[in-house]
Amino acid sequence: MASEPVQAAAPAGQGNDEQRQAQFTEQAMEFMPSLYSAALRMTRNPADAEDLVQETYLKAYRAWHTFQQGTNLKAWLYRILTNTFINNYRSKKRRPEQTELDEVEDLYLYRRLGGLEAAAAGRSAEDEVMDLFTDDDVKKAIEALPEQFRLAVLLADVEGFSYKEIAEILGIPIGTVMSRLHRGRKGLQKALVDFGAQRGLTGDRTKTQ
Amino acid sequence: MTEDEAEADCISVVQELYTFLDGELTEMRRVQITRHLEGCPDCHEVVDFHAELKMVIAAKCKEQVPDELRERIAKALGTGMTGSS
Repeated sequence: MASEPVQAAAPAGQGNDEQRQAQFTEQAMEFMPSLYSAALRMTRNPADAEDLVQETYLKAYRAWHTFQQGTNLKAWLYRILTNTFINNYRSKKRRPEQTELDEVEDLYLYRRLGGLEAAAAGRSAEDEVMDLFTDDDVKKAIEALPEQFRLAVLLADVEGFSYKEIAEILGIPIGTVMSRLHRGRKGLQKALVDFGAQRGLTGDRTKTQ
Repeated sequence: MTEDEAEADCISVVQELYTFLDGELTEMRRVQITRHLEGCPDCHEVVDFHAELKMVIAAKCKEQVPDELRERIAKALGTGMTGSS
């Protein structure tokens, strides 16, 4: 099948249904792994994550004619994912999400791992962080964050969106993105230390106050 | 002197750590921070650690899409393509 040359800033989904569908499939499907990963952290369970991703793709397909070719498709899909999550899934299990994050000092994790790292002679900080936490620790630590912080950290640290993109995806000012990231990342470090400590990884250092 | 014109010191590195790592500083500020890092092993280590932490977080959150989900979505979109090759 010959693909139509795509003009910058032209609305997507021109042509007949078949072309429209082929174009959508060709461009949007590659983002499924990252959308699914984000959906899992958002919903915290596979069944809801699958429904959320499917709903996102159906909505995106229906709105495909509004997508401007040449603009950021990944950010566009994430905006649909995030809105769908906030509107449909969050309300399912209302919990006191607005609980404040504990005030955590700067370099919380670094300072707690500093001694360990020095002890492990010849090892770099990089090896240390990579090996210290399991996939499960990191996933649980993200999922433990209150929702508004979780979304900001997910979009920045897992998906690598810029502050401006995150502001657009979440519909909040850039200053708010920065403050949510600041506090969310501290909360994440605290949770990592807590989960690590549960497995005995950071030992007594976490208990010294 | 505005903040942007100030030389970077160890305190500002900690304050601007993530703005630096996220690539969101102005070019001038990025250069000032980088210059400080070149002469300060302690700050260099702090920045390396957090850069790695960011990568570790991203790497450990990658999930495999269940085949069944790919099929469900392809079906819902009315196409025979499952996306698995």
